[in-house]
Amino acid sequence: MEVVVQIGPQHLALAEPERFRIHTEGEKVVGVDVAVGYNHRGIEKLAERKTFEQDILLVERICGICSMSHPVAFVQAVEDIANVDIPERAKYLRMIIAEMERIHSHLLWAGIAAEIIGIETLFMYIWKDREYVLDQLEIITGNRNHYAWNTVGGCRKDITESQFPGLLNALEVVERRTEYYIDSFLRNRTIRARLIGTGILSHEDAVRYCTVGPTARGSGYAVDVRKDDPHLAYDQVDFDEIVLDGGDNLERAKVRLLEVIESVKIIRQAIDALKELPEGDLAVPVTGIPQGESVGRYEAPRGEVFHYVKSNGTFYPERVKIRAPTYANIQAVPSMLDGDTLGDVPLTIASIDPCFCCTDR
Amino acid sequence: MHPLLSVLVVPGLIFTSVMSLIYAGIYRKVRARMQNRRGPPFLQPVYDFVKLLSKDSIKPAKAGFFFTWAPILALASILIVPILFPIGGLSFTGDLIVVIYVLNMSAIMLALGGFSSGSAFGAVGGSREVTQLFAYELPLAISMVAVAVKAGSFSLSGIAAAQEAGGMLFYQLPFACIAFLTIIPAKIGLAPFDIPEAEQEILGGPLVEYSGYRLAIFTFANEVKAFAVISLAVLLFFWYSWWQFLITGVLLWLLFIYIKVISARVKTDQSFMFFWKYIAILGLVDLVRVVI
Repeated sequence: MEVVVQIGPQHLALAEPERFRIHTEGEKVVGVDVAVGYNHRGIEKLAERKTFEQDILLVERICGICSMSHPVAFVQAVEDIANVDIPERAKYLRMIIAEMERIHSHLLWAGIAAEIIGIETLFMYIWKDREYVLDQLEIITGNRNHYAWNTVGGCRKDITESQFPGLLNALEVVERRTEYYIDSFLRNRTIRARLIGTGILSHEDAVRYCTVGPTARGSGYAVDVRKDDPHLAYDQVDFDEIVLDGGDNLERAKVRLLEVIESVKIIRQAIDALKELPEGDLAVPVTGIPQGESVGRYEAPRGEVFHYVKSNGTFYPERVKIRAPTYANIQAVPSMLDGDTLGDVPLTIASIDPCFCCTDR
Repeated sequence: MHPLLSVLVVPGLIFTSVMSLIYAGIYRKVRARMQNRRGPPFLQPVYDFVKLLSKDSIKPAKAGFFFTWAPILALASILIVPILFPIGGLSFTGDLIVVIYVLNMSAIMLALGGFSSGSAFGAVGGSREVTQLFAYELPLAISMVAVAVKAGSFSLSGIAAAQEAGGMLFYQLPFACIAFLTIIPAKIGLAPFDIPEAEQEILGGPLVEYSGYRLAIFTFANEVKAFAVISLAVLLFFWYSWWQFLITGVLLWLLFIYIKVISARVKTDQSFMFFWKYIAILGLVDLVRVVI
């Protein structure tokens, strides 16, 4: 007999309102209906009513965690229309903040995953270490989130020489602790019992549903904008694209934690490069956006963020279209849950690191 | 000792309440320190109990008859266990059977409270509690029977006396002891077997609709259960004397807090397989050894 269990719009395992109807036979999941759109705020329409400069701050507020991803994707599209090359220094500055955001986002996810499978200790530990990164972000940009770091043509602030030691120190702590977490994720038997073999997304399904980010890379599908279409200074730093084959929840957790270590590597190289670069202008002045259209792609912590911007030569964009990574990944959730038990559902939904306020905009 | 004194003072109501609240305080403080937190004051369980008593207790419109009676019966039945302890308690032939019965009673009352709360999450929690009961009940009974046969007595004071004469039963029945200790987290709802109370999956399970004095009684019943079950383990396997009984109990409690802190919650099928495949056989090995 088929029973429908409804998870959401309000549920403890979901931080944001979204509805999943789980069709079950006994404990076994036989089908999932996903309904998104509970968090729609009309940001795309609102963006047409604001100037380009105001829109940067608007798209920054699409999501609390990807508050670097959306502005970078947006300004890249606008800079492409205006045909400006941003200063080399600004590229590295953007990249440092972007990778710090990736670190704290992945650590946040790991903490939530630990909490969902009932191991609060790991949650408390990980979130404590995440604070090191957030503290540095606050020291450098003035805010823990919503950094207001970008402008069309470059960055708004510089990282001063005196801020490097604190940043490097925080990175060292985070790297050491993350290695320890990888160890505990891999060796603890109760954690393995929950993660191994649950929420399996096959490579074919990962490709077929056009998944992005760590969700795709956990299933052996190598997509990463940083490698495929290098923007900022990602082609000048040395880092590995983490791709694992298993496709279950354990692999996705591993991908994220290993990416934290790669991000630490990227920031270290970017700091070295910044020390070499001469001090100069952080932004090139941009006077007026000409007519035209372009796209901005950016590898957010959850996958590819895609912004389409069309300009008609006025101060206001004619159209802004935003696709967040969760919108691509949520399609794969029914495939992941098929054949799992009801107890795995919250974890598997969380394993794509869903951000519904990005998805619904 | 006068029977009324046994029931009300030691080892009955007052002693048990104080020990249970001490255990609960240790649990919250030690767990917090292990998790990099400061934790609440040591007396927080007492404050919580008093605070909950002063709050309204809301009964959902769909809730059934047992919604009120389940917590009361759970507390009443679990309070019987310490009364039978051989530290001045009442004792009669065959009280081990009563212990098995009242321990189950408190688990069933938790499930009934969940079922009658009229909430889907409560019902799922209740059915998980019953499934859990089926998983660990047989190994639990096997290991307890192994102890009784070895000690030659079905009463708690008889088992204690046998250990005073012939040394702790842990040395003679190591497998049954391990089986019993493994079941304790499932019995008192600690990770990795806190499946019925899974907060992230079913929002706390049977307790989801409870508030006010009903919640206070249920929470207190669970705290008493933790003390009673741990003390029972000491009594069955590690008995030496009354003061050693108290110290070993606290040490065992610290061990279980440690296990809770480092483990994730397993799934129903996993815990079922674990108890039936490994723990039941472990208990059976010792039972067969004792009987032969």
